[in-house]
Amino acid sequence: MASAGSGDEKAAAAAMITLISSDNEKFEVTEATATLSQTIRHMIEDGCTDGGVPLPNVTSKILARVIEYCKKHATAAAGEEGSSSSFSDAAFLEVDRAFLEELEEFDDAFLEVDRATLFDLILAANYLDIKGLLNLTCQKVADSVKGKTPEQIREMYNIVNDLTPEEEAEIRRETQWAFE
Amino acid sequence: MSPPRPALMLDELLEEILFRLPPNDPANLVRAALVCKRWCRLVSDPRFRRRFREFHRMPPMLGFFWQGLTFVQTVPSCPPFATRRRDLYVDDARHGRVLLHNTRPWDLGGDYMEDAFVVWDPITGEQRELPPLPVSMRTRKATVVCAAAASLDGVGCDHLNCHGGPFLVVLVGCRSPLEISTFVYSSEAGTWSEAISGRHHLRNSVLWIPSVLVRNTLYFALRYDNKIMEFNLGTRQMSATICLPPLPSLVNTVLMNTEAGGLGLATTVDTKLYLWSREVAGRAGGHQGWTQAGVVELGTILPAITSHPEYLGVVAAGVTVIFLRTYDGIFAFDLNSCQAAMVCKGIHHISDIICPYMSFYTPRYN
Repeated sequence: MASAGSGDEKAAAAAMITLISSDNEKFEVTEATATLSQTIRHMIEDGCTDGGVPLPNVTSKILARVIEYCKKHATAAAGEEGSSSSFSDAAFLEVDRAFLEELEEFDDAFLEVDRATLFDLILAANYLDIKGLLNLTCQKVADSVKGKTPEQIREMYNIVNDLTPEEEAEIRRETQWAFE
Repeated sequence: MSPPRPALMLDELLEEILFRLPPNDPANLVRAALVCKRWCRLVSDPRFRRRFREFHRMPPMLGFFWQGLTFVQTVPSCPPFATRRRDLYVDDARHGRVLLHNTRPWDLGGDYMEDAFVVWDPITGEQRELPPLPVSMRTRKATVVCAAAASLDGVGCDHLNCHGGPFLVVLVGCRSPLEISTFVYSSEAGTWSEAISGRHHLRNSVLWIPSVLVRNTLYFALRYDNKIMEFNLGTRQMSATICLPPLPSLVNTVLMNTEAGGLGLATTVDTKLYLWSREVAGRAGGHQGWTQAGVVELGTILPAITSHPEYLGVVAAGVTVIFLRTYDGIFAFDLNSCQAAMVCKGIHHISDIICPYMSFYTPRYN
């Protein structure tokens, strides 16, 4: 699987795409890396990537991170379709497992960023339409909310509570079990 | 350059985040709704609630009914269930509905059918008493399904939230030896169908192990014939052409849905778990179209079973979770992680019957 991925990369090596960040920095990436973004894929299909792809919503700092993610996952993308998690192959295929573990480790390390960067990555993943990255970053925020009280969530994300005490009391009364 | 708006400020992205709260711990959605007005409005929005269910694709198992009576919660949080007729036993559960009857689920040998079935929805509290069946039946298996399950390939309902919709109750049983009959109750018609019979040379007796719904067909295992009876909900025809794979004992066996959407089977032999799957395309293949999909040595995962392997058996199965009866209690074995967790301690009846209950719970506030 890994060798098939690098073969694809070689084939696509000739086609390089230039991405231009909001602060005018240029990034050269392979087409295989760039097309993890559906937004860029459509631009390539429409033939409007000559002279580079301007990304006015993404700073160079965030774009560098996004490219780092796409490079790693572009090699994985080819293999993903073939593998399935059905119990028939019950994850006993060692090659698959090692490969997926490595990717998971990469993702975990990739998410070791401050909150502002994480939110910038979510915005970039949404704008560039990179499903895997959007899933990864949104899951990270969801995990941070999981198991927290409303007070803890508000404090974590600087959210002002504008529910009236009556509204809050009513919700708590209706769903007492969720606070036990 | 203006600084980007924080992702939490865009409804679309806040939704993306809240979709990823675990459906098997619905208290998280309730607490999220209490953060502020905007979060409350978003969580309560019917569109968000629908998309939350679609995102997770399959309703979570909130727990199971043990021996037809006690509900054992297996998730971190779960809303309290609506009240139900306490004198009735849980017979079956599917598509958010629970079928109740006054016969103990492990005691189906006697005369039967004098009393009515009740269909109960633990989430909405809806209860409907069915009219009594016109005939008396001995051994049988009854099952409840969303009425849309009768359409080919389940078109018409994704069964993610069909609480309150029309339903069918399918009852398979023996009126006399060699004669298996099926009756269908439709909530829309409010009546039972005529008896539907097939020409089978069967020795009678339907196993009480759970039936399985694959596409628009229900499958029932037949105790003495080593066969599976198919009941097509669309055509309302029954047949018993599928043979079971060679199994040493049906007592430790359940039918199940496979992840690929086909019919599967889980069984134990000594300390091993065997998984079989039957794909339609493989109908002509070896073992009557069955292929062995996996073998797991449970002795290394649950060392305790090796001292009492005679108690080991499969009592129920979801798509990715197998419920194992052991001497120490009931364990949920996850097929993806290959890990087992005890869900019910100190119960080791050879006749353990458990009935998993699956449903989404998404809160709604005005």
